[in-house]
Amino acid sequence: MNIFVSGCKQIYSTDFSEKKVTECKHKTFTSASLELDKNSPFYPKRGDEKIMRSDTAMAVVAVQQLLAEAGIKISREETALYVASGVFIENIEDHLGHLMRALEKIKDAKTEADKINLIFRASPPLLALQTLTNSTMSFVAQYVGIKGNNATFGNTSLSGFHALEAAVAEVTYTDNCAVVVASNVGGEYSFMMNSSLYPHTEGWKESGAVGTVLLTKKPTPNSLCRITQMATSTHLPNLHSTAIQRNWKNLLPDTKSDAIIHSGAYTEAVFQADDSYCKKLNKPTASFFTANGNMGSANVLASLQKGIDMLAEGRSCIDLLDRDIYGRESAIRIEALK
Amino acid sequence: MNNKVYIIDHELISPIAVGREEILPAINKNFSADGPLIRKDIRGLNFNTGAEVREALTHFYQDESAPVKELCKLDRKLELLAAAFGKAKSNLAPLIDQMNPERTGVILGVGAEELPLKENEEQLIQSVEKKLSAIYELMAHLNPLYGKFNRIVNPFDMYALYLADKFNARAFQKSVLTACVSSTQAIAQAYDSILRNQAEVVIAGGTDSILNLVALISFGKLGVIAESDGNISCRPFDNNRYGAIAGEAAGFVIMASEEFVRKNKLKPIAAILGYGNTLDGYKITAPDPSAAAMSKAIQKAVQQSGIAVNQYDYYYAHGTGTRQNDGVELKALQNALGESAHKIAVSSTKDRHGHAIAAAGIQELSILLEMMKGGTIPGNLNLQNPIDQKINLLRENQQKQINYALKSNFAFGGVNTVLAVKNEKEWS
Repeated sequence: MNIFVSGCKQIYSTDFSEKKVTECKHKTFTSASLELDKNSPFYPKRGDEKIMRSDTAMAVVAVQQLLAEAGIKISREETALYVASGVFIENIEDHLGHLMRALEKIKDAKTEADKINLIFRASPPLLALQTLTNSTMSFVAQYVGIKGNNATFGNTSLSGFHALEAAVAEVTYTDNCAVVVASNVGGEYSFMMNSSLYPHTEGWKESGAVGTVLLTKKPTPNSLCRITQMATSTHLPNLHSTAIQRNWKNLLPDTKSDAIIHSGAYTEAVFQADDSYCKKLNKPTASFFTANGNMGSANVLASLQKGIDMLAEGRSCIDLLDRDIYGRESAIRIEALK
Repeated sequence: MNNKVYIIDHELISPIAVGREEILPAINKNFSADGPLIRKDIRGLNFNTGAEVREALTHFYQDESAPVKELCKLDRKLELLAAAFGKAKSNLAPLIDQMNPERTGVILGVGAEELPLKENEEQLIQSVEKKLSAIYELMAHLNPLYGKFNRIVNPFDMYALYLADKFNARAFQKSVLTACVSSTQAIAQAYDSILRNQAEVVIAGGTDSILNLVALISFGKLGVIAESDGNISCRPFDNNRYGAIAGEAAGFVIMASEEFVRKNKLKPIAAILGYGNTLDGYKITAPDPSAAAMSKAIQKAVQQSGIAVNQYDYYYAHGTGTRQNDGVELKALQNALGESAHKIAVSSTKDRHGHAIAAAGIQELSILLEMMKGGTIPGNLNLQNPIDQKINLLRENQQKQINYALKSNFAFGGVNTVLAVKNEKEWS
């Protein structure tokens, strides 16, 4: 495998704060949402924006920037687009707030039909589009004109690996370029879905992020690194246990790499344990967890960006390790351009 | 280069057939599952029917663990999938023994999550009255169920992991979330994975149900669900079409390399010869009226198959019965196949089983496999005034062998996926 990363554009959240979600279990966590760059010339039109999540809007911005700065002309008719998406409800108030408020009124409804009709009338007209699972992919295609092979994977962090893997295969077996987009909204809904599957929630941190990558078969003047290995564990997770196991070393082809970048932790304690595990492999380690928390479907591309930065500092080979909420592990090796 | 990936088995839980053996009889007697829902009370919406799997399914998964059985009561997508596996389980045991777990993967198309609002109405109202965030209070109250199962709202990967566990499929477990083409793309991805030697067997399919209040409201608000017209609500390719029937389904095909098929002396049902998969890049709310990308998806599937256009017997349409889809689809067909578009038999079966969204592709491929076995091409059940007189839109079932077929599905947001399928009845 020898595929070139010829563009990489990431957008991270910065406004972290601690949030309390429910009265029921007094759960608190730290998260941040993407800030909308409405001044960007690539920002979507207002009519579209109103049915976009923040990650979708910023993915549209990021991919346009990526292609504008790619330094090569690509056939958008044939370019492939693979997307990894996180949860599809960013803000329950935006999506279902009207519906919830309708619930207050249904006590007065005389019949079941009246109740349902009240809820129907209170629901926003574009609810289906606001929560459409391929919304990021379709809006990106609409704004940049990419029309080739495609799929949206989701919605744990392994989807980032699957999107990248599909794009690498497309570039390997055809003459096409491929764009990979990973978009994630952190926040209450994501926390409430994932935290109940985790061994504990103390020190939980997550955030919204967008990652984009352009892959080419041949190097371009703007190429940043090569992807030379990709692997996932063949260990099926135990769905009846929330325990975390670490078997990343089995995915590494050899000891050649200069450093490990790891992701997958949602809490400080798990992050520390992951870091200790990776350090025992006798490598310098890095992670974006302290700065950004878990970025879900955008984890893999965020690590790729961090790896590119480390290659630029003089390292030659870096392993990117991730583990999804179900405990499935992945490894990607990137190497400096020769 | 060998471009064939073989389908060696399949299973389907559909509103018209609980199990693959029920498919052909249902098609032959023109059974339509469109009717009043028995699991959900939807009085008060502006449509009152749907295509529902009305048979109880619990006996298909009675051997499951307590958490899975419990979750099946709350999560229709898991229940349909567990029933599909449970239905096929006894037949599959010898085949599973032949599979190498590390060379076997799962790719599943999955639809949007189901929020059980009506089922938890009282608690939600209490939270709303206290000015609390009702959905989060409900999630905190109900979750987790056990281990990595939530009672409500799970990561979409849970379904592929469930199926992988059943097949001991360790190579990969992927979830495709591309709306109405999710399971069609899952099959296309499985095709690539096997041709590229990433796996020798892939279980590909999907599960979805939009027969829940939030989904019905969402699609109803978009105006794509047909209101009943006497006894008929869905009329694909008819001038008087008003929309789709809301549906549900789950199923899978077992796809394998030629080497695996021959090594294990299996007899395939059919082969996938290629696919086309394109994006409109037009508008999220409507298909591109030029039909350019849809047409290209059809052309690519034909090209990749290496089979001449005039050898295709059947174009198995997406045919939702909505105002927007059907006209553009026929335009795409005409543009892609030229004169051959006037000869090839064309029909949709969504007037019988409804639109299963993420499971539409697997439902229709499974139906196609049985039609290939049985030598039937289904007619468009409710077609009276065709929107295009030149296209060979079948009105009645035809008894005719299907040697080659194109199966198309198109998704909200302008995603177009078409499979080229060969009947392997004559396999040797």
